[in-house]
Amino acid sequence: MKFLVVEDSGTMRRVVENSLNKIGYDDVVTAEDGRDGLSKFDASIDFVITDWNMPDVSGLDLVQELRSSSEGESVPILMVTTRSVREDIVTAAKAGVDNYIVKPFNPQVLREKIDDVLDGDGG
Amino acid sequence: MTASTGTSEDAGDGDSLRRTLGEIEEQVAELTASDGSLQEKSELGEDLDGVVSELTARLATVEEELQRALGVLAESRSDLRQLAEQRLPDTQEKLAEANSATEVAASRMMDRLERALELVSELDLPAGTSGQELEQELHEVINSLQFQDITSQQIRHVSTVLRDTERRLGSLASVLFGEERTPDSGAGANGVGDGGDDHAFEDSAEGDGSFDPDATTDGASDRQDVADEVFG
Repeated sequence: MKFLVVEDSGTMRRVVENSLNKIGYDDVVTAEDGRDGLSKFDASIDFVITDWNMPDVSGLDLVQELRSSSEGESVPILMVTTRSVREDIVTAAKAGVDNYIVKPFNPQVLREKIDDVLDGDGG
Repeated sequence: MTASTGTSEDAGDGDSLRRTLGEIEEQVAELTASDGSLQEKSELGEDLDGVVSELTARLATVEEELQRALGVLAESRSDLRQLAEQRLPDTQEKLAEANSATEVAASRMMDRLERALELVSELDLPAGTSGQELEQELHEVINSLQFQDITSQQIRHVSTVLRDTERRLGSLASVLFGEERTPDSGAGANGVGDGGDDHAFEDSAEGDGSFDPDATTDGASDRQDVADEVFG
């Protein structure tokens, strides 16, 4: 399974990538912001993990863009962000996010959310 | 005839007298009324004089206080300028420096930790040994580096607030002292008084959208519960 991790923090990109490796997912592509994420997304991507707050093209913009495209309309998307106000979370859900993780996260939670989304329980 | 004429004249005199008396009464009434009005006007005038005197005295006091306040402001002019043009920008620079330093340090730590993980992996230690525990510990340390992203967002938020404060102080200095602001003071660059300046301040509180002003390391579990409720 090929993951696209979109995150503007270099540290967080590596934390997420490391967590994915640890739970058994080694095929990971990273992007530095939403615009980079859109340019790196193609039909080979099986799962998108994205931050929300990023310059220029935000994670929410990325989700909306993907959901309106034929290639990205059904790709599983997990948002990993510090934003935890209920209204924001509802906004993300309405935009098409399949599940949501609040930073700082536990790798176990990452595994659970990915499993939920893949099992169809999280979106 | 005479009597008749006399009577007629008497009647005419009586009418005339009544008219005259009526006119006198009216004039007396007017005079009386006029006297009363003058009296009232005179009293009102005295009252107004008192009010005007009191107001003049109060205005003099207010003027004195304003002069004193302006004097204090003039004395603090250099302090205000130093704060807006030097101390706040210096503080922002230090924050940016701290942010950059922690990012570099976190990146170096990550390099070492990943290298350590590789070494542990190369040892190919059997399950149940301390090697696995070591690997788990290394992953935990890597995960704890998430703090850097969160503190970085907090620092950027503080820096944005400082930049807004700097701009507002620049506007204040402009209003109080009519000073020209430097091009990099922000408010000047945005055009103070163009009606869009306050809006620029409001917008800048959110920065460029690259950080969450409410980012925190606290209560992650409770906040995750909120997300789980929504996504049920």
